[in-house]
Amino acid sequence: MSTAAGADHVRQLPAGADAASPLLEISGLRVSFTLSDGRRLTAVDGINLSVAPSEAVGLAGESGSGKSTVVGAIMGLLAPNGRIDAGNIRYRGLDLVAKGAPLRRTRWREIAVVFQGSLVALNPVIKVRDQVAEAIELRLGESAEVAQEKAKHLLHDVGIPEKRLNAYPHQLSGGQRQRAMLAVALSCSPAVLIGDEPTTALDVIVQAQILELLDRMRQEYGLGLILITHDLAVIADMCDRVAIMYAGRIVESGSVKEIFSAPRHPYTQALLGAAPDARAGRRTIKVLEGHPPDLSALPPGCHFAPRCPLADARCREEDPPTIEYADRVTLACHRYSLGDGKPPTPIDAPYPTLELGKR
Amino acid sequence: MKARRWLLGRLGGAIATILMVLLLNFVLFRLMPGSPDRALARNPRVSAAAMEAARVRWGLDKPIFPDQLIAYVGATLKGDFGYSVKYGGREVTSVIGEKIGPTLLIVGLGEIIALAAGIALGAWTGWRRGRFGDRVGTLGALILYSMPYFWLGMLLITLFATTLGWLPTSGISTPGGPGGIEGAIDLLRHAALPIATIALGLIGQYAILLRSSVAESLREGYVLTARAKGLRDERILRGHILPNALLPTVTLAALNAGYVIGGALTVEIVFSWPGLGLLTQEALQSRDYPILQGVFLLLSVSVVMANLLADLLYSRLDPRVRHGAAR
Repeated sequence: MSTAAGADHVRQLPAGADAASPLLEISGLRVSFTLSDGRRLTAVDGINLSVAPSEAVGLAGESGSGKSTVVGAIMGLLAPNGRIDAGNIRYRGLDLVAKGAPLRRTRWREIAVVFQGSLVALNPVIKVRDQVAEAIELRLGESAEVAQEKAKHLLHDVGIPEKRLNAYPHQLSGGQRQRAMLAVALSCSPAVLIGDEPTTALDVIVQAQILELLDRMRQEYGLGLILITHDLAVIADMCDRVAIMYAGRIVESGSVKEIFSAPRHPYTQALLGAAPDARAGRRTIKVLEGHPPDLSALPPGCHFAPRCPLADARCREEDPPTIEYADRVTLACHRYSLGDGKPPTPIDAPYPTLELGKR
Repeated sequence: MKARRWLLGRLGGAIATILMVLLLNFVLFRLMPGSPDRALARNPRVSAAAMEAARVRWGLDKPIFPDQLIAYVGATLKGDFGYSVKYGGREVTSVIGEKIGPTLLIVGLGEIIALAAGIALGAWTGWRRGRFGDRVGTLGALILYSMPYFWLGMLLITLFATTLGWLPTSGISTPGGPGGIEGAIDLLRHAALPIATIALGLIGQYAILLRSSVAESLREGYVLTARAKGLRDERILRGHILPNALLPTVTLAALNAGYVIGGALTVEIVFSWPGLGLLTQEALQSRDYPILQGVFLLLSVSVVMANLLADLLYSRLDPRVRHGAAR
């Protein structure tokens, strides 16, 4: 293993932070956007999510479910029409939502992001090496020489060949660009790394390489990793815990083992049913019919009710409460009885075989 | 070398364009009604023999095609631009050489000031797009952009020369004025309003173009990355947005470098500024073919060269063009 630029870096917490507090903890976060016609759209509706050092948490959901809005809220980079209405985001006890939050201090130095689509996320007219060195120089206050040297190490570490150090983004392949983006993200040795669909545009082989690299960096740096993706297979491979998001809410969360072996929420079941699984010898995939709802005109009750084969009158009227029935294992569904610490049991016993859509 | 072949191709294209312009220049002025000898003919006492002698001397007795054309192209290629009809038979190169300095002075300074101010205004309004400062700045830029030079020039004369009396109304120097440093100050006082006119006329163009490319860049992914990096606004604008957003503005500035020499024509007329513009106007009135051909050739060559410069600059500044990337 090479000498990573930040491995020997002694982490100094920002003022007001508390090493004993959880690394990153999001609670009751609600984010809304004002549309041009004046209506408000609630993109994230009261979610809880946390990540510990060296832990990988997957946030899964269809496009438009609010995954990327969560990233914007954490970084304090919501679009101008976006607003955090309620909830907390705490980094080591530091409130990142409050007015005057120390975002200038926490961005990149504590929490960094690997954005999707490195062709647009990297500046086309700046050499990748300089893009890695920039934050080291400007955020960590290192001299230009030290920053360049560190950038060289980091790029080497993520697997950019020596002769490509002075390349511009367009001169790199898609996989190399994503590696370079990862080096940019790691430049200030953050404690939390958010991967926002980091492998979406890549072919499967390159995707596997990038994920492996991401995993190695997580272990090497002790990163808390939040992996945002619509690809459940990626989460199964990479993550310890998973949260399934639908229309701005987390409908089910828990350990990857628990959720993937015994999905309870009908939406989770549908998502898993829609993923091809060669090992199971299943030749057909079940497709969830319908579309994610229009977030600016949500019906009352469970957001998934209109597409849910199990929905009854109550589902269409009442929001299902999110119940934490075991340590950090949650479910939000009316169709389960959740009693005193026992695992949730379906109300209609025996639980019906789900026929979600045809084909 | 791909780059060298590209450069040779560009140069070849530029030379071919100039040759075409040479032909066009010749045809264009001979299509105009009138002829240089008519200028002489206005004098009623000129004898028919003298007229004929003048026609022979200027080569006007020969057919336009092919004799005059061959004579013109051949001489031009040898660097002989002929003699002015109006300026007492002086060499065209010497007349143009005398007038090019004053034009370069006002056009050069005007363009530099416009570029600096336009970039500052465009970057500022683009960064604050949609806000009050942007609305006011953009409105101002649009007003300046849409004003013709001669109108701007007349407004400035009315305000600063006639009403306030701070600056001279026209000309390049006070007749019989002092020399040395005081003479230089006198020249600058005369040049101030023409320079201001050209600068004001160009600012709007640069500001509006840059504003739109800055505003567009703000939505780019790399700006989000720069923000997430925790960089300061000023750094994001200078270090990330401007290197991208300035590309079209730099190209426009290079192109303008070719056009403004011709574009300063109305400014020079308004301010009686003795440069190429005024010379062109006088030459047009007296059908001074050699001068017109010389000036137009110069303008065409400068436009072609400016295009070449813009191409080269763009490829220097944008690594994607430099490396021949498809994008």
